[in-house]
Amino acid sequence: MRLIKYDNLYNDALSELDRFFDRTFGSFPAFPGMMTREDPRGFRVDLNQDADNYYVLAELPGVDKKDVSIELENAVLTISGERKARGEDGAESAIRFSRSITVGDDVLAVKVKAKLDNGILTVTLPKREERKPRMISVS
Amino acid sequence: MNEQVTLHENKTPETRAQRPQRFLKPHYEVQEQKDAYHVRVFMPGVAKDGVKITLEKDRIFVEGSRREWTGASWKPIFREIPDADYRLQLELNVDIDESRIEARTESGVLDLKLPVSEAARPRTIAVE
Repeated sequence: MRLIKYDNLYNDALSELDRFFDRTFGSFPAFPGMMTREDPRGFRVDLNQDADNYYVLAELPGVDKKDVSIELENAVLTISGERKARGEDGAESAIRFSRSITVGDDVLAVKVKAKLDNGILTVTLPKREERKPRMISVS
Repeated sequence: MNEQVTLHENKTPETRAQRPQRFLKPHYEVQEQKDAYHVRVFMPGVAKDGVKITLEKDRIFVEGSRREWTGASWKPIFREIPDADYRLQLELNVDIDESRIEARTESGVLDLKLPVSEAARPRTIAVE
């Protein structure tokens, strides 16, 4: 019997390729017109954390603040929106994009904040107080 | 071996200024308009003061440096956004009116308007 790894190329062939191209060439997006589809890998995101918060960063150049919507359901953060572009004849067209990433399940959903600055969206997700690690002293 | 590990741990995290600079070629679009070329360069994270545009003969260089956008205490869980600045070089094959070049940045996009010089514009010649 042959052992087949779960993370093999056939499960998600494109993710492996995307990673390879991104690491090698690192352009945004890898191909012009990549954002024309509703592509789950349409834009880059970062996920960071410190003791108090999770921080999600997303590259959204040329996107207006009011065209971005952020949704948190359970531990999944979905960033979606549209980028408006003006064609040669002046006609406006919109390109939709959406991406979901998993954050921790200890997020205090009501205190989530987001800001869009120079094309980088920063979402700050505070962690719940009762879920933080705490020191217990032996009495 | 052991020594190396402790050395690494003692090192304070590098700031962006200390790291060797790396560059990415940004995504860009060129649109031909009636009397100008409109170039849009997508450089997320670059503010107005981080953009440098140089024109040299028939080449235009665009450099965009990003600000430090991550907090010092942040620990990455996963990162896709490369830690690099942008650099783009475009060759111009038409005469551009240098004095009338317009550039502005908005939400991480640099809009460049390169007007075609009077001499390079198509003109109709009337038959006498």
